[in-house]
Amino acid sequence: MPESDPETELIAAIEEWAPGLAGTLNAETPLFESGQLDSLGLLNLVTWIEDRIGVPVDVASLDPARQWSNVAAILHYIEQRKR
Amino acid sequence: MKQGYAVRPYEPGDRAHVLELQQHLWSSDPALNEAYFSWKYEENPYASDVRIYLAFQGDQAVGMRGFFGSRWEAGVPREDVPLWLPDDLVIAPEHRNRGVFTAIMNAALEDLATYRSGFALNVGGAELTVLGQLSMGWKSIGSLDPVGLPSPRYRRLHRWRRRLDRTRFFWRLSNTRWLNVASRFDWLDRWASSETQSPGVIRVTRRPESEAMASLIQRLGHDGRIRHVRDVQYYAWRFGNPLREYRFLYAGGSELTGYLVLHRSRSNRDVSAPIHISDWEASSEEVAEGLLDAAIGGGRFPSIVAWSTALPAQATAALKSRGFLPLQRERTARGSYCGLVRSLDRALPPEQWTVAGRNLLDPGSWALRMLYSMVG
Repeated sequence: MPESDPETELIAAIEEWAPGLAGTLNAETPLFESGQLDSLGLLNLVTWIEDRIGVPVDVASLDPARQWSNVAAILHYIEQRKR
Repeated sequence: MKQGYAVRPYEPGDRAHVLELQQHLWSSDPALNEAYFSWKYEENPYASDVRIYLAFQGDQAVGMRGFFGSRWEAGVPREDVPLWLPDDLVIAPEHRNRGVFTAIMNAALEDLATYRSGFALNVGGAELTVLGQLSMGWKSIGSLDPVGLPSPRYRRLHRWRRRLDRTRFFWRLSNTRWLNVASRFDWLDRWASSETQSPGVIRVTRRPESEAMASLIQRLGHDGRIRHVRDVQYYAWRFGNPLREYRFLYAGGSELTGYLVLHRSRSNRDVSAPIHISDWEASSEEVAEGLLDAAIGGGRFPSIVAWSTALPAQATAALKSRGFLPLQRERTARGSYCGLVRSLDRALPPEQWTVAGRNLLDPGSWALRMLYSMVG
């Protein structure tokens, strides 16, 4: 992931999967509270984290509402697993 | 909902819709699907009506999810546990990725909550289904720890198939019968009737000895973990699944000391599916291992699959010592072999999802066996 702006890159990716969030999404915007990101969006996110970032995701132990509640939480999740 | 879809509960006139949709999932055989529908939803002893939710676009059914009847228990002394089990998700191909699944599940859980409070339990499922439910607030209760034993012969044949698949002219041969190893019970049936088998030690039948099996379960006792009730009524119904063919290995006489249930799929959509261990119980390690060795040695199957999550430690060790390996790590990591749970009361916080004093989100609260899901 480029050091320049991981948050911007992730936000752009999510806006592509969930066009309804375009223009309103920031690091604190809830992603799952009201179904903003659906199953396909979640699959895209899993794939993005694994393929783009290189961090494996164990879906069987995943709690998206808690661990990926917003962009900031996702970036925190990634950083924890890169260590 | 997007694009004019409407979701409603099943009505008797919807039978044809269900059967048409299920040609995408159960099998392409209408008669087999009819039999499976009747067995699962109409003859089910734990359901007073058919709990299926269908999505329509106009008068065309484009998707469905079913909730089949079941009876669960937990605690010592035992308590009934109200659980709904979703299954049979089908979305017609041209209507996928349009929010139909989410709409069906939301409508279903809201409707179910009006009938009976409690929880919904999803055991296994395709990756997208698991992810979809996680995105809707379901919580994982952990992996089912699938393990598999491929025979050396199957491994060799599989390597030859893959080589043929990559050739320009001979790739068509990779699907010939002698390379496409289907799981059958031929060898086990021959073994069962052969003189080399010690009489009275392990016997094999095609039908369940429901009373003897239920009696064994009663004698073995219950540690209080959440599990499906296994009594005469359950066994008598459960193994009537038309999509499965079963073999029952028994140890002991009229009073069983153990049993092991194997199944293979009858669906033409599962031609190369392996043999599965649906259930396995024994009064001692020796009996358990004897049953397992009879299944492996007598059956000579291309591959066998089991879920090890609820098995006693010695049974898991027995599987490992006989060469069973963690199955399809990629699929397991994708959630295809995990359990998910969800409260029907949306306001109930996850830390309060308990039954009989057991936290539903603690994997140690569960004794999930393949038999309790329709995988078994």
